[in-house]
Amino acid sequence: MSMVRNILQSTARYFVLIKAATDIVNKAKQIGIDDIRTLVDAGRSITEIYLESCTPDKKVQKRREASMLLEMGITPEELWEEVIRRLPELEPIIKGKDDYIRAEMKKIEAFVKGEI
Amino acid sequence: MASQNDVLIALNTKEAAISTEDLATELKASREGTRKQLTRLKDKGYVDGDSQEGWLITEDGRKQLERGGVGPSMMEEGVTPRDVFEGIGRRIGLTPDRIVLATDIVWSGDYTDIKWVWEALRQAVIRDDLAKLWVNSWRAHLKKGIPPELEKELVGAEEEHGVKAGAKPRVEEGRSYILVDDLPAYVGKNLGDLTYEDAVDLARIRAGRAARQPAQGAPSQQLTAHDIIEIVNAVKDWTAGAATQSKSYMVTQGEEGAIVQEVEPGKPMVLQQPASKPGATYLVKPDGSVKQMEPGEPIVVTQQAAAPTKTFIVKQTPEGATVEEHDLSKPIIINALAPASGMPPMYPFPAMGGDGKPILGSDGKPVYVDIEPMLKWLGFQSEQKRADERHSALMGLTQTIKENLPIGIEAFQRAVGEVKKAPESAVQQYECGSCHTRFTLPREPGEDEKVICPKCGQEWTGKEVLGA
Repeated sequence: MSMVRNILQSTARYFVLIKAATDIVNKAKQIGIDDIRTLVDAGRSITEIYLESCTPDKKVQKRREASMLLEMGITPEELWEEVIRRLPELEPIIKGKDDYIRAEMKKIEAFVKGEI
Repeated sequence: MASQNDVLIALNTKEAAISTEDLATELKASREGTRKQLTRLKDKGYVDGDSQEGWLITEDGRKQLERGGVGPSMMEEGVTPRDVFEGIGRRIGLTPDRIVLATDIVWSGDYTDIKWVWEALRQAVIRDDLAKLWVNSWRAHLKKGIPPELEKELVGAEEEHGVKAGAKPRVEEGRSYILVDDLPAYVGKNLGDLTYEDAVDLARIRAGRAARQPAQGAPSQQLTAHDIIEIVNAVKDWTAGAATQSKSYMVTQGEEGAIVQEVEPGKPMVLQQPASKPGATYLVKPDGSVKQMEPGEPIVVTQQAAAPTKTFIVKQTPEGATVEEHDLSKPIIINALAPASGMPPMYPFPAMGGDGKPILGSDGKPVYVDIEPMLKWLGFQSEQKRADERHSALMGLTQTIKENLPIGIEAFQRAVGEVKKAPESAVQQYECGSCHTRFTLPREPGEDEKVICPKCGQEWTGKEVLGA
């Protein structure tokens, strides 16, 4: 019985993780890898640009989805790994840019907390 | 459109009734136009039949053909004022295009206004002599006189050369006049219907006739007292020679008629007041019988009790709803029937009119309707609506599952893989030192805790197990 429960919980967790990562990958493809590279090289925050383009309703929805990820124990780093796993072209763009990634993670956390 | 004469000739060759369509085909005319002509001929009694049974020529129609055929009026043949106007142009000798052009210009204004017609023909660049002839002919058709402004243009040379000094300008030879509002009007030399003398005479006759005829709706002339006195005096004068002495008479109304009595001069007359006989009184009873009442006989009117309101009982039977009139002296007992087949009993529903009152049948009883089919139909509609909504929800759910199914499968596979990996890494296996059987423990034993091999039953301490 306990194994079944573990599988279900784990499935739900992976489902939420994969769904969020897939959405991010689709959005990244929509923006274009070259544009992302340009933005990252210029030090512009992709998170900020994305959130600025969202309507208030869309922001509420995204905040709810991010809160769900945190509640299920999914960290931003884990989500980022999943995104890179699905879109390997992103890895060379952010390689060696730890400060940029850290700043983006903080912005995401601030967004989830409703600070931005 | 074929003429009435053509239609009559065509029908004369037929021995059996012919349809409107066949006749129109034979005459190479429109069906509608042929039907109109047939209707006109039927009104005249020359043909018989209708569109359904076909058309036949009558005996009168054959006689009319022998007499020379049917001469239709302009209106019957559908000749419009424009047709007449264009006909005049053709008779003058203008080309058809020129006629149409000129007519279009004339018809762009008031074609009954002679001044405008003249102006329009000038605009159409019609030669003066032709335009003059056209306008005069049109004016004659409309029975209108020459407008004073156009007198010079339309009369022209005749006035200049034909009128001598001192002669009456309007007196022309020939029929150059018509009557407009019972007055002679000159319409051009030989373009009218009457000579000047005839027109004047006719105008006088009509004026005299109009003067003799009282105006319609005027009250009849009443004789005044003065008129009566004059008439009496005239009669008196007329009878003066014959009358020696005037006599007076008194006329009284007797039982058997009027009685005339000569009144002698100087003798008083006593007028007797005729005893008025009271009229008979009749009583009409409610049953319709009539009785003559004697004078002094009292009439007692009995108050009729108002008809009691009828009560109807509607019973629901297996054959349907029945209506019975209720006897007021009997009680109404309602038997609550157990509903058959688990369905509630269907009570009859009174048919209501637009005024909110129940509709009564020819027998005066209320009309009841069975609304069960309507209720079934409404139920069916609700069920359909629910089914449609359920289908839509299912389709939405299916679409969501379809979109997220690959993610779900992948999540499940990764979860299973994680669970599979966990026992190998997390669960510690132990081996018995006696029988070398491998086994696991639900948790790590304490140092003083005893562990028993599940196969050989050898007992080990926790310290020994952990140390191994």
